Formats: sequence, C-alpha cells, structure tokens
Amino acid sequence: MLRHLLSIKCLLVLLLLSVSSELFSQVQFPDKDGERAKYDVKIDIRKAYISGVCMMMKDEGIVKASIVNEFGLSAVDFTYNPSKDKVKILNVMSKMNKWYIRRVLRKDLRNIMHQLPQGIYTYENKKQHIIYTFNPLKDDTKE
Amino acid sequence: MLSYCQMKKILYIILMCLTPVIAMAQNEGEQKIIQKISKAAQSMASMQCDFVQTKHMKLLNDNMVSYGKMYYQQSSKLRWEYTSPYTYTFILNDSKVLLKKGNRNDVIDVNQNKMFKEIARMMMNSVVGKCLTDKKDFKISVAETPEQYVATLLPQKKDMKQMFSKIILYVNKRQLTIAKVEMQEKKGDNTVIELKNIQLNKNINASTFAIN
Repeated sequence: MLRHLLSIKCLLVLLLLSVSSELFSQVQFPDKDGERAKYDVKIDIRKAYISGVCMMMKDEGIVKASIVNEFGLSAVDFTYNPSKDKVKILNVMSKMNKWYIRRVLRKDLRNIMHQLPQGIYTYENKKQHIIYTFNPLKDDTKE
Repeated sequence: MLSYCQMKKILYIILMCLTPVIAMAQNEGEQKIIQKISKAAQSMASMQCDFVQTKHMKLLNDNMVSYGKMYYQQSSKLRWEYTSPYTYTFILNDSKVLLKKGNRNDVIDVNQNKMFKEIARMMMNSVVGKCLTDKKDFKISVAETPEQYVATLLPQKKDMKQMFSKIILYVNKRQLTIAKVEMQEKKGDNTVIELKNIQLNKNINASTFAIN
C-alpha cells in the first residue's frame, strides 16, 4: 500500500515538474536581444472584437511587434523603446488608420508593454471601453 | 565591330518588334487557360484539404506558420478552420457567416455587412479559382510552368489595393485546382497558403457548414 502511494506521489511530482518546465521554457516577454514571444490577441471593442496573433522580438534594445489577424492580414505594427518608454505605431490596417485610433492604440499598447513582463495579460481602457487580452501562445506547430 | 551602345540599340529594336507578338500569343493562351480553370471550378461539387499558412513579417524578419483544414461545397459553402497553433473557424453558408473563437460564436449576415460580403466572396473565389474571371476586381495575367499555371492578380478596387499589392494563384495543371495562394502586401509582408491533400467531389457532412 505504502509502495503504491509512493509511486503515485513520484508520478505526481514528475507530472508537476514537466508542466512547470514547459511553462518556464516559453518566453513570456522578450527581455533580451534576439528573444521572441507570441501571443493570442483579442481586442474587445463594445459589441465587436478583433482577434489574431501578436509576434514580438527584441532587437538592439527595442521591442518590435506585429499583430496580424488569423487569416494573416496585418493589423498593427509597432515598436516599444523601454529606455524611453515610448511606443511608435508603424502601420495600422487601412480601416483603423485614423489619428484618434492611433493615439488610443499608442497609449494602450504602452500600458500593455508595462504589464506583459509582469505576467498580466489583460488590459482595460475604461474610458474607451476596450479590453485587450494578450495570452502567451504555445508554439506547438507540427505538420 | 559593333560598340556596346549600338548593340544595346539593336537589342532594343529586336525586343520592340518581338513584344507585340509575344503579348498577343500570351493573351490568347491566357484566355484559354482561364476558361479551362473556370470550367473546372464550376464543375467541382466539393473540395476538402489541409492547408499551411505562412505569414512573413518584414518588421520581425520572421514567419508565423498556421495549420488548418478547408471544406468547400458548391456553390456557397465554405469552412476555413485553423487548428494550430490557434483555433479559429470561419464558416460561410450562403448568406450567413459564423466566426468561432474560443467560446465565442458570432453570426453575421453578409447581406448586411458589405465588408464581410467582400471577404466571403474573395475567400470563396480564390480557393476554387473563380476569381480569375473577375475582371472588375483584378487585372489578371497568366504564365505557365511545366507543372503549374501561375495567375497574377493586380487589385483594381480601392479597398483591395489598400490591403494587397498583388495576389498570385498557383494552379495545379493536372487537377486544375489551386495549389498555392500568395498574397503580397504593400508594406512588404506576404502570406502564402498552400493547399495539401486535396480531395475532390467527396461527400461532406452537412454539419460541417452548420451555423447555429
């Protein structure tokens, strides 16, 4: 009986170890040059939503990011300079390419870039009623 | 002996003389190829396949690869389903579109949403090759390799021009089905969708296109 309990305990420990190592092997936020991260993104705007994937990488101290929808169409390209705490919007899809949308996006993305390294994946812009969700995406692609 | 400048001039004249002949021959050939592909698309009752979508992001110099399954049934049923690394389903059933993401299901009536009507029409027409007869939307040119017909579509409408600079369809000569779609964006990104394990005219369960 005791032997059985011990083996079950061992199995549980192994299982927990494998899960935790899998979690830690994923980069949650690109802190060092060359590191990359991938997020499943959802932006809820009142009754509608935009969804897709955000890919980020750190290059020469700057975080570069592209948000594309599931079909591969580019939605937003931006950079974040941590030393200046500045977000620069490089491209926005034509339907969203308005100065006031770019302004809201710039501010919200800056706050999101503060939250992601701390493992906080949801940001709400209460004034504009926009909820951003950036969930780390596990890259388990196989053909 | 001819100087470099003279040689260049002669070459230019020869090319100028040849160009109309090549262009004429190409136009006649193009029409035949387009008719052939359109005929095959119209006679296709159903199609199902796997797909691999590779999005190249110029800013990151990186690719995002997604995998999924596609089902098409004549004349207006399409299921485009991403299975990895994310799940997302787009179902078009006549005038209704269902978008499935996680627990959220959204049904859209394409007749009440111009943008979705365009997206649905474009997806359907590109997948089966019907867009080759769409002269309003695209300026089309067709070339030929030993294994494929390569159709280059230049968008003519403002909305499409804002999204894509060029769409290239690769058509399998033997099956007359789309093997690959390449969408090039103005800013240098591009998306390549490769269709694999294509099965034609097989029965597809009606629930595949169900919109609840």
